[in-house]
Amino acid sequence: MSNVFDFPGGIYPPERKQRSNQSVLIEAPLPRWVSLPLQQHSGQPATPCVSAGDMVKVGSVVAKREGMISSDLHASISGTVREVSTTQITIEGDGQDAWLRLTPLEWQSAEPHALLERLNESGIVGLGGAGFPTHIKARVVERHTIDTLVINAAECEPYITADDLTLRHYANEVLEGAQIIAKLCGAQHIVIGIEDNKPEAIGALKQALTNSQPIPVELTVIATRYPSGGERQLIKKLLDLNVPSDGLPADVGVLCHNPGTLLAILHAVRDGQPLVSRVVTLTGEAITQPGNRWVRLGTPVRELLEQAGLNTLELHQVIQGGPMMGAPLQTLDTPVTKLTNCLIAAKLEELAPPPAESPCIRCGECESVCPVALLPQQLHWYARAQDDAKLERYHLFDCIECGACSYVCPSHIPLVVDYREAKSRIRLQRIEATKAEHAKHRFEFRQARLAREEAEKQARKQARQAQQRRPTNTAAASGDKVDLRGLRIAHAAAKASVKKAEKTLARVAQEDPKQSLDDLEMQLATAQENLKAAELQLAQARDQQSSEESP
Amino acid sequence: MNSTIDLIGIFSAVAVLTGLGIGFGALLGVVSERFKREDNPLVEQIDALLPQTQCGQCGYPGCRPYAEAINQGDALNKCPPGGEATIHALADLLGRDPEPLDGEAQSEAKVAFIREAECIGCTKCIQACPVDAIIGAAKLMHTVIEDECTGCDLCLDPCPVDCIDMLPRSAPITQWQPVVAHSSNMIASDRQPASGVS
Repeated sequence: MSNVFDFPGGIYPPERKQRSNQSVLIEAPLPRWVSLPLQQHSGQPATPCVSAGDMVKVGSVVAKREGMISSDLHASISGTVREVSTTQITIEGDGQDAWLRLTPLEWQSAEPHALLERLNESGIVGLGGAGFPTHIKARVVERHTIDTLVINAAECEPYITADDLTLRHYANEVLEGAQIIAKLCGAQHIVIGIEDNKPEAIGALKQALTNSQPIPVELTVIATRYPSGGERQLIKKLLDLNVPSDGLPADVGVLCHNPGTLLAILHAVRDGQPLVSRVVTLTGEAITQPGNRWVRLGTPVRELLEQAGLNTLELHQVIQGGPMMGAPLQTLDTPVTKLTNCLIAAKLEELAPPPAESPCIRCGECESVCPVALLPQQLHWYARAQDDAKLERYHLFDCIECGACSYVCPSHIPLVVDYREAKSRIRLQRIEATKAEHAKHRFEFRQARLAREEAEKQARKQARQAQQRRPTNTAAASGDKVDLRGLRIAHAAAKASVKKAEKTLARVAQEDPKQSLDDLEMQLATAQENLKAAELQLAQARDQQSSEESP
Repeated sequence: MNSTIDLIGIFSAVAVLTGLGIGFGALLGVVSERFKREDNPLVEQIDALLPQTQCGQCGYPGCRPYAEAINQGDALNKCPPGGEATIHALADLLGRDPEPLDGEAQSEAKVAFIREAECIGCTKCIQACPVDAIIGAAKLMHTVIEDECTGCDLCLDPCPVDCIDMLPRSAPITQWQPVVAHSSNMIASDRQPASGVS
C-alpha cells in the first residue's frame, strides 16, 4: 500500500510556505471582545440560547444546533453577552479566561454513543475548510462500512502551514484523535497522506507512529502537487480508489479527516474542551511577524493582524484561506471562524490582480490540469451562455473549484468564478422547483378536499330527500341519465392511485429514512380524499339507479 | 405452369404482408388500449414549467387549468409570477414564438402577512387561499404559514378589514446569489488600477 497512485492534472504554484513555518506555534493574546457568527459550519445556522447581558464562561454553549446538519456554538472567552443578532453573538471579555469544561472521558473504555454525544456537544466541525459537523460524519457507519481512515495532512495550497505546525507540535495527540474516530467507525487501517514539503512534520509523525495504539498507522509521503489535498484526489493517490461522482468517500469505505479536527476531537474527549479555538496561519508580506497562532474563535481579523505587525500602508488585500481557493475579505472587522485556516495579508506585487480577461483561445491548458478530468473550456462556454442542461451534462457539480484551470489560463479568464456563479444559480433553481412542486401538491390536496366535501354534501342532500320521499325526487333523477360506468372507472382509478401513493411512500421511507416524507404523505392524503369523493359519488349514483328501477 | 407459380408467389406474398399488417395493427391497438394514459403528458410538462403560485392572474383557477388552456392554444404570456423566464421556457417547449408579458412583472417574491391585532376572524381569507397556507377559526385570529405561502394575493380582496399586507419575502443567506459583472473584453492598458481594502 506504500506505492503511490495518481490523479489527473494538477499544477505546481510557488509554495511560499517558508514565511509562516519558521516560527513556533504560539497562543494569540486573548481578544477583548469576540463576535461569533451563528453559521460557522455547513448546514443550518445554530439558534442562540443566551440573551444580551448573560454572563458566559469559555466553553458555555451560546447557540444550539438547529436541525439535522448543524453544530453547537460555544463562548470562546469569558465575559458578558453584549448583543445577540440574527446572524451573530457578540461577547465582551472580562479578561478572566474562566473555563467551563465538560467531564473528561476515557475514550478506550467509553461507549460509542457517549463519544458521539461528546462530539455533538463540543461543536466540532471539519476544520479543513468545508465545516461539516463531525458527529454527523461519524454516524456514517450506520449506513456504510468504513475500512480506512485517511488523515489528510497534504495541505497542498500555497502559504498555509496550519496543519504542518499542528503535526510538528501535536503529532501524538493527532494520532490519538485518529484512534478515537477509528474506534467510532470501526476502521481497520489508518493512513496519513502528507506532501514531501513538510519534512519536520513527517519526522514528528514517524516518531509518534510507534506509540499509536491499537490500530496501526501508515505514513505515506506523496510528491508536492496542487491539489493533492482534495479529498477525492488524496484517496485516489493513497488508496487508488475512485469516489463515485455523486457519492461520498464512505461509499468506497473511506473516511477523511483533517489533523486539526482530530486534535479538536481529542481535546473534546480527553479534556472536555469544546471547540473554542483553532490554529490559524498568519502570513503574507504585509505583516512583520508571520507564523501560526492558536486563535480564539470570533477574534477580529484586524486585531489579529495588527498584533502580527500589519503594515497598513503596503496592504493590498487580505485573503481568508489559501490563494487558490480562498476569498478576499471585504472588511478586516470579520471574525475568525471555525473555517478560517489562513489569513494572507498580501502586498500588491505579491498577489497582483490578474490582467484583464481576454477571449478564450481554445489552447486546452485547462483540460490538462483539471484534477477531476472535466472539460473546463466547455463549461466556460455553457456557464457564460447560462445553458444549465449542458452544464449538468458536463458534470459541473463535480468541479471542486480548486482553481487550477484559472491559474493556467493564458487569457486570464476567471473560470472558477463562472462555475461558482452557475452552481449557485442552478442550486437556487432547484430550490424554487421543489417549492413549486410542494405548492402544487398542497393545491391538489385542497382541490381533492373540496371535491370530497362537495360529494358528502350531495350525499346528505340525497339522503334527506330519500327520507322525505318526495315525488319530485324520481322525476328529477330520471331526467339526467346516470353515468354509472364512468363513475366506476373513476373509482377504480382513485383506488389505484391510493395504492400507488402508498407504495411510493413505503419505498422511499425504506430507502432513505431520514428524508422528509411530508410531500409524499400529502400526495397520499390527496389520493385518499379523491377516493372518498369517488366512493360517495358512486354510492349516490347506485342509490339513484336502484330508486329509478324500484318504483 | 410458370405463370401459376408466379401467381401463387404473388398471392402468398400479399397474404403474408396483409397478415403481418393485421397482426401488428392488432398488437398496436391492444397495447395502446392497455397502456393508455389518463393524463396528457404535454399538459404535465407545461404544468411543471409554471410557478405553481395558483394565483389565478391568468384568468384560470390555478396553474394546471392554465396549462390545459395553453395546450388548447391559449397565449403563453399570461403568467406574471413566472415572468419572462417562464414565457421563454414555454415557448421553447411548444415551439411557439415568445410574446411580451401581458401585465406587470413581479419584481420580487412576496409573502402575505396578517396584522393580527386587526383580524376579526371571518375565515374569508382561509377559504380563498389556494394552498391552505392560512390557519385560524371563526372569530379567532388567523395567521399565515410563511413557508407555505406562494404570495398569490388571493387573500387580499376577500378581507373585509384590509388587515393583510404583502411583504417582500426574505431569502435565507444560504440562497445568496453572487453578483458577477463580466467585464467586456478590453485592452489591458485601459484597466483602472485595483483599489485596496481598508
